[in-house]
This record gives sequence, C-alpha cells and structure tokens, in this order.
Amino acid sequence: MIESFNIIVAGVGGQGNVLASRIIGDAAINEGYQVMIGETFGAGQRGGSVLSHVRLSKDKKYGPLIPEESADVVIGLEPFETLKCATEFLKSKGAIVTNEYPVMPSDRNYPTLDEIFRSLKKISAKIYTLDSTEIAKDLGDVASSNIVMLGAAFTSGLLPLEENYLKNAIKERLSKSADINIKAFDNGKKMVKKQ
Amino acid sequence: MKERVGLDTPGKRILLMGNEAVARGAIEGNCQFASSYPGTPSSEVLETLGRIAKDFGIHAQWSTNEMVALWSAAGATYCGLRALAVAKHHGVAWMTDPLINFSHWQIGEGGLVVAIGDDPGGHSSSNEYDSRNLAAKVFEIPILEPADPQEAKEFIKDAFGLSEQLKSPMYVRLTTRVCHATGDVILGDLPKEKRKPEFFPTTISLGMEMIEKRGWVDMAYLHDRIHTKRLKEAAEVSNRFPGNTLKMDGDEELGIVASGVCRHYVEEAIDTLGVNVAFLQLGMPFPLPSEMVSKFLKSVRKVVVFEETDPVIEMELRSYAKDVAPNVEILGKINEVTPVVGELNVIPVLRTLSKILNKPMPQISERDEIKKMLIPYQGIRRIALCAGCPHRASGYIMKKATEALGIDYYAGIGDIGCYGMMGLPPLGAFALTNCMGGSIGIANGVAKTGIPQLVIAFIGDSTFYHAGIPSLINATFNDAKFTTVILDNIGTAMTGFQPHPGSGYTAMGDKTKIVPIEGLVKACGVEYIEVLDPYQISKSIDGVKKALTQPKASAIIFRRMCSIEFLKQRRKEGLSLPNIFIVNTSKCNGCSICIDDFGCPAIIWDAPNKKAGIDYALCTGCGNCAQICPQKAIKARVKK
Repeated sequence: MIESFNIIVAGVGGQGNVLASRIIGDAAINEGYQVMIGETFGAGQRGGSVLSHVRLSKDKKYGPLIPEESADVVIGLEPFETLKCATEFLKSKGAIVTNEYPVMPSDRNYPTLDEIFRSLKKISAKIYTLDSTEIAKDLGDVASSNIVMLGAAFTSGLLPLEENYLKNAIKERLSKSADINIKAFDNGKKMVKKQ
Repeated sequence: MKERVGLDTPGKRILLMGNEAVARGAIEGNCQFASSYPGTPSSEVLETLGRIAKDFGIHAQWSTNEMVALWSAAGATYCGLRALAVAKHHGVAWMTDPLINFSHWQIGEGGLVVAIGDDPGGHSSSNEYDSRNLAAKVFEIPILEPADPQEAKEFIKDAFGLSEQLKSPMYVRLTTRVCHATGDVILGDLPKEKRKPEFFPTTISLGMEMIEKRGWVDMAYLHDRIHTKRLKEAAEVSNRFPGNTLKMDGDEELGIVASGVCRHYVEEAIDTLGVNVAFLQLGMPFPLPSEMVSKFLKSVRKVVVFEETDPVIEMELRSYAKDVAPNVEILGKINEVTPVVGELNVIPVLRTLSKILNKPMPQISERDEIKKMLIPYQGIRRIALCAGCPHRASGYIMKKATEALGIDYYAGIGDIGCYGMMGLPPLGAFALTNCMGGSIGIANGVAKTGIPQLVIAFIGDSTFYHAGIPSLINATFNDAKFTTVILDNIGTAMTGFQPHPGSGYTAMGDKTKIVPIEGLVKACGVEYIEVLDPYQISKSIDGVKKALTQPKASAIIFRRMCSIEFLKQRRKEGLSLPNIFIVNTSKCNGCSICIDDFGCPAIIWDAPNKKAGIDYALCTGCGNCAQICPQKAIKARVKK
C-alpha cells in the first residue's frame, strides 16, 4: 500500500469526470485506502472545465484539493484539458494518460493536437494516449469514454489499485450498463499506447 | 435498499459526498423532518433525504424559500420531532428574522439544526460572505464547523442532541469544500425508535410566565438568557466537544488555529514543512472552548489563524487574549498575514507559514513556456447557456420583438438563475441583477421614477415562487407600469432541477398539485398575460410585441422545460430523443447569425469553409437555429 497518492481526472463538463473519480474512490476504499475527492468546475452548467482531485492515503485525511505540482497521475478525458491540468498540477515525475479526441469550442480557438502533445512531452516522459471517444463510440455509447480511460490508466500501471476492485466498482456504480462499461475498461486496456 | 447512504451496516466505510454525509447524519441523529430551498453548494442534502425519506418513514420537502423552509422545520420541533433546515449562505439572510425569534424565544421540544453551505470564493454565488457572523453575533446560537464528510455526519448527528440540551437552534456551518468533498465515511447506528408527534408550543406560556413574574413581556430578559445562560453552557459544551482538539507539547513558539476544511490544509502544510507547532483545531468555533483556548494562548508566543472567510475566530481570540495572554501576537486576516478574503488551500497556508517560520517553500518547476502557450486559450470554455436552452430562445425573442418595436434601449432588470446569462452577449436582455426576487421590486422603483423608457423585469419560475410574488403585488398596489417576464423551465434548473410548486411532484417523488404561475400573476393584479412557448420563435415575437405595448402593467410567461432535464427524463423513461439538426452547406451563406446573434454552443464555425456546422454530440434537437436561419439552411436530420 502506498503512503499517499494523488490522481486528477481532467475533462469537460458532461464527459463523466465525477463518475470516474467515484469509481476510483470506491475501489480504493475497498483496498483499505482513505479517500478524499474534490471537484473544481469552470463556469457554466455544461461544457466548462472540470477537474476531479482524488487523494488516496494509507492513514491520513487530506483536504479535497491537490496542491500545485503534486499529482502523481493526470487522467485526461480531453487533450487541451489534460495539458492545462498537467501544467498546473503534475509532479515533475508524474505520468499522463489522455484521450486524443478534442472537444472544440464554438469559435474553434483551440491549439493543434501537435502543439498539445509537444507541450505534454515537456512536462512528462511518461505519456500514454488513445482515442477513448472513438473506442466508446464503437462500443455503442460515447458516454463510456471515461471508463475506457480508466482501463487505459490501469494497464499503463498508473493506478495503485487492482483490476478486480476497479471492475467491481464499475459494476456497482453502473449496474444498468455494466457489460458495455466492462468492455470499455477492457478495450481501454488493449488500445492504449505509450508515446 | 438501493441508496448506499441509507445502509444499515454500522462500522462500514463507504464513499459519501459531504452533503450526503449530512443527510446520513440527520438520519442517524433521528431527524424526522427536513426542509430546504435548493442552493449550491448544499442542494444535495435535501435531494438525498428526499430519496430515502420513505425508507425511514420521515418527511423531506423542498420549500418555496429558505424562510418557509425554516418555519416548517420549526413546526416539527413544536411537535417534539427533531428537524433540519438547509440552505446556502444567501438563504440564511432569508432565515434571519425567524431565526432570531427562535433563538430568543424558544424552539419546541425537538432539536432544530440549521445546516448552511457557505461558498468562500463565491464559486456558485453572487457574493461570498461568512454566515458565521450572523450565527454568532445576530442569532447568538452555537456553531459547529466540520472539516470533511465524516465530521459533517458526526456533527449533524450530535447537533440535534445539543440543540435539545441547550434549548437553542444549532448552526452547522458547511463550506463548498466540505459539501462537495467526497470521502470515506464510517457509518453509524440507525435510530431504533421514532418519536410520536405531539403539539407542544411554548411561546405563549413563556410570555405568560414573564407577565406573571414581571407584569409585562420582557424582551430584554429573553436576550439576557442567551448571554447569561445559553452561551455560558455552550462554552462548557465547547470545552468537551470532541471536534475541538489541542495538540501541544508546551515548548512550541508558534500556535496555529484552524476551523473547517482549513484544518486539513494546515496539517498538510505542517507535514510538508516538517515543523513543530501547537495546533488548536476548532470543530466548534462559537462559543470558543474557553479552557482550551486559555491554555493554548498562555503557552505560545505567536498565533496564526486559518479560517474561511471572515476573521470570526480571530476576533474572538483577540478578545480572549486581552485578558488571559495580552502579550501573545495574533496573526491572521486583520493584519493581512493570511489571505483576507476568498477560499484557502494548501499553497496559501504553506506560503504564510513558510514566511512566519522562515522556511523555504517547496520547489516547483517553472513551466513558463507552456503557461505562455496556454494564455490565448484560457477563456475557451466560456460561461454560456446550454445547447437547446429555452432561455436563449426567450432572449432572442425579446431582442427581436423590441427591435421590431423600434426600442433600442429599455430598462432591463434580471434576477438569480441560469437566465442570468441572458444579460451577457449576444442576448444582452438586461444590465442589472441583485438577489433572489430583486428584479420585480427594482423594476417597481425604476418604473415609478417616470423614466421615458420601457421597464422590463426578468425572473425565473423558481425565483418567482421564492420571492417575486410580494414584489409583484406591491407593484400593482402602487400602480407601477412595467412588464414582468417569467422564464419558466418547470424546475429549479441552476441547482440541478429540483421541483417547485409548478413542477407537479415533491422532493419525495410524490405527485402533487401544480400552483400555476399565470394564476398567481393574475391574482397579483396583472391584467395582461401572454403565455408563450419560446421554441415557437415568430409566434412568440408577436406575443411579446403585444405585451410590451399594453397601456398597463403586463406579464409574459415563457414556458418550456430545461433542455438538459428534458433529455434526461426522456432517456430515463426510455422514450425516443428528438432528431438532431444539420447544416445544408450548399444553402449556408456564412452569415453567422446563428453564432453571432443566437450563440448556441452546439453550432460550430467551420473557418476554412466559412460555414456553420452543428456538433452532433451537443445538439439537443430544439430546432431553434432552423427557425432563425435566414437561408433556411438548417434542417432536422432524420434518424438512421
């Protein structure tokens, strides 16, 4: 068991950050961790930046916000949000796993994916990517993109949690659509590539 | 039982959001009545209680406003039941008069707990203020201040018993970072026995008691009891309250005081800096634990206080210190050693402590180059009404109708809700907002000045039920001529679509009578009322033109369910979703009216081709863009 571990799930409102963080939280509690999760929202009901700060620890209660440059892992559901979050919060030796599919703003004022990935490489040597939106769409439900990302994070060795605990948490939280989401987790595991 | 928050498994550790933990604490504390008006960050408390109320045979209700919520909860205490009233900090202002009276006179036999979500930094509020000031200085009732979900559950549970012991309402001050933190909570026992209600009011008997003893009802005596009895007893409770702890060896120079979530920030900062300090944690900051505080102040040379938002503890400590340890130096907001306003976090605490203790801050790598690259994109996910939002259509209709009438400037006054964004470009429906219900009252004043312009008040459905009605009656009473626009999306949308008297169902999911807004408006004396569907744009423009040209006061009700909620309900019921819309690029001439004038986030500008496009993932199928496109280039896509 690790002394303490900080994960941030970064994305855009509606992408399922909160659910992803709860699944990590459930699995962590069942593995005996203390858990504290906080969320920061940008303005607007839908479509704003959302960060879910997930803090695991062996025996301490932490506050719900991860300090600057203290995250061990950033799980990014959207490439630009991944970059913004990693710049502020990733530790110098932290790792990144990110979706490659962008959520464009109306005016398309958005950096190129090339710019984003070049910058990410300056922050971390450990970058894992996949197109979780496409994978989820192929499975029949774009909404499971967040679970694809959890599978990707797991297989990249970025979560101090065991697969069966994560899968049980998915089944419990998403009982109605458990099958498709377990598949999403497994496909995330298979499709992720190290950059 | 489906809801994990209601599990009968004492000792089990589960993940709960702070607000859910408050609900669980109420259940464990044998609370049998809960009432609230929704407000971020505390809305989920009553949402949770509403979902599980039937499992526990208790009552939970959404009320029309916070004052009514408090009254109804107090009603249950006069029947001997424990009751909970919940609001955000803005709501406490509404509770003020009844709460002062419940404090001075007496609540019933049942404990009364008021749980308030303050919003330091004002993340989802029109201001930040520290409601502990009201609780300590105006209501004069004890305050508990939990640091995390576990403490929130324990403190709420304890508060009912303390309320009965001290014969006082108890104030539980939550903040955004407690309400919306999600952490592991160890479940406690569920109550074995419910109380039977019996009406036992005390106000008249207390009045008669005073008349017999003194010959009159002595209000100063009621106030005196608070100072000579309640607050002294409460200070004793504070000395023994398990949430107040002092960690001190006696040789520390610096002492730290923290309340609420700040306690965790301080613990993390102390760990990071590796320093030895005395640490006074206050889970019950008012009244202060006198013995613990005296011992602490006498032992250290310097004290620094971390609390959100105002120096409430700091001021109390200063007055204590004057008597028991006049030489101790107290640092905090007053001398600007800690951040004076806003929300705290680990970094500001670290910065303050590293300065005081002369220790270096932990090194961080400068990612300046990347930060510079990010600057042009900082604002890309701007605040906006959601795709398909009926308020966007209503704003557009108002704009087109006033333009058609040749009105280029009118006195527009907005109110509190999602539709606040109608004040922003491109709609620009109004230029002023105040607080819940303010639009109609302000419009009354503006109209009576006799300005030559048209006066229009914009108010939401839930806000109208909350506080719009007395203002509208007042406007009729005083013959103020203006138009009230009521934006009815059939729920309290901004806080997560809680039901209101126009929704047809209650917090516990029961069907209920609808109190129609048009009936209320008519009863308030407004004679001309247009009820319009904002999804029928040209028809609505005609309706608005008629309403705005009436010789007397008029009202417009735009009625259409929140687009997000509509889709959610259709999905839940397994019903088909509306067809989404697409742009026929051969017809689109790139005029960009749909983006510049209408501004739906689902419409994306295709810069290389100079055409509009629609993001299929965001489009809700409202079809409003198809109605406003001058080229008729937008069409519903028939499903595959």
